[in-house]
Amino acid sequence: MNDKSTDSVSDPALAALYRQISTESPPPALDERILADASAPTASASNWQPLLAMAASVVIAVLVGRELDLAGPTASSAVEATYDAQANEKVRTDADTPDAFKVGDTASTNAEAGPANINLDAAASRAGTAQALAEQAAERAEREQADGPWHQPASEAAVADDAAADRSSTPALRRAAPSAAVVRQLRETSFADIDDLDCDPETASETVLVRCWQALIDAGRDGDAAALATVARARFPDLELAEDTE
Amino acid sequence: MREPHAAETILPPMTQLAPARPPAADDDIALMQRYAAGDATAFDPLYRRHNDAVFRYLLRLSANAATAEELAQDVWTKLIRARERYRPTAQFRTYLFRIAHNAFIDRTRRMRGREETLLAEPAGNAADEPESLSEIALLKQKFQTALTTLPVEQRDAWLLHEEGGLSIDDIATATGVNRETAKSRIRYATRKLKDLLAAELGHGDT
Repeated sequence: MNDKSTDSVSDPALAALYRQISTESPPPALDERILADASAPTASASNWQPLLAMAASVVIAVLVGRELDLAGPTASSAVEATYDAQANEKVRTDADTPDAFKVGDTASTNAEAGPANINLDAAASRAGTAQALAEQAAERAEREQADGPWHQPASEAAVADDAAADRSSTPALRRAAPSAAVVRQLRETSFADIDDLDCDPETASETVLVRCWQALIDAGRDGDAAALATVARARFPDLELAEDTE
Repeated sequence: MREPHAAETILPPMTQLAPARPPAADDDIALMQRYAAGDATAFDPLYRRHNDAVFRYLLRLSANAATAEELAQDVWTKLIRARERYRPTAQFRTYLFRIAHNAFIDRTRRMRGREETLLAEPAGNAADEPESLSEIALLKQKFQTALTTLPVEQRDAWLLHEEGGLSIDDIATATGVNRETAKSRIRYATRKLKDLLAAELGHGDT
């Protein structure tokens, strides 16, 4: 046991007085609850780990499928949107980086905050793998269309151009800039059931975007929330979305 | 006005007041390892051995019986759920009180910004009806009031020392500060408690 005798900070008289008054015990009901909890069988690691791995695989497969669907024939815009005119080679590397890593430097910190914290970066992190695969597909499509005209609607091309212009202005914006695929995904996403908010990612005000993001989180639509946050952060770099929902 | 917790009003005879100090640490570790390996019967003696001290530490720290109860359950639940990851890198009691310390800090952070204040509850209502309290209950109340006047870091360190039986090094580890800081906190807390409880200490000496 710890040897307090070597600690000169302890006062014997005060310690004796404390021992005299410190006599409480927890209520028996608490003992019963804890002892019952302690004796309850729990799934061992060998039981739940395969299940967890299987569940994670299913989630990743669904996300990848959805992202590939979105990438489709117009996937070149996803790559175009990530180009930096000043450093093409560097940004080509960035394009291979999942958005979750580009968006949130605090992703690992948030993960440590525990499952009770629902936040943007955690949601973005979940979509990261799928985003990377989608952008790889986009890169292939870009090679095929290198000499051809854009097949995107004019507005979407404008969005990509705007994003590129924004990225050149500040490093923070470069990190947060959304790909055109993300913008398109948001446009195709129905927000009608989200509190009747006008959640157009390109036009909504900062306040509305925060409300939209929170509404999506509340609705369990973490993927959509992450995409919305990517666009929102590109427009409002200082936007604070992470929220402790406990 | 807070109703005194039943556990606070029932006092054992004076001959039983000296709390049972922790037994051999090796025994604790062996019990925990058995429990981690799946022997559920090993938990009971481990719990019986330490639950009072954990509860009292949390009770004095939070100055709130309901909070202490909630936190105590949280502490043991965390230990139960983490048992398969338990590694005896420190004495079991240090490990346990570190969980308790973290549980209290986590709760304090959660409460920050909310209307509820974890430490605002008065220690009791002796000033209203002093004649209704026994001498030991009054002493208990004065001690709690004195503890509550300490900065939470000092109170925490002092309680880890006196209630948890942790060494200064263990307290430094558990609270994430260096040894000198931990020692200073205990020293300041001791000095202030002695000042605040001078009358009681003098009375106890006679």
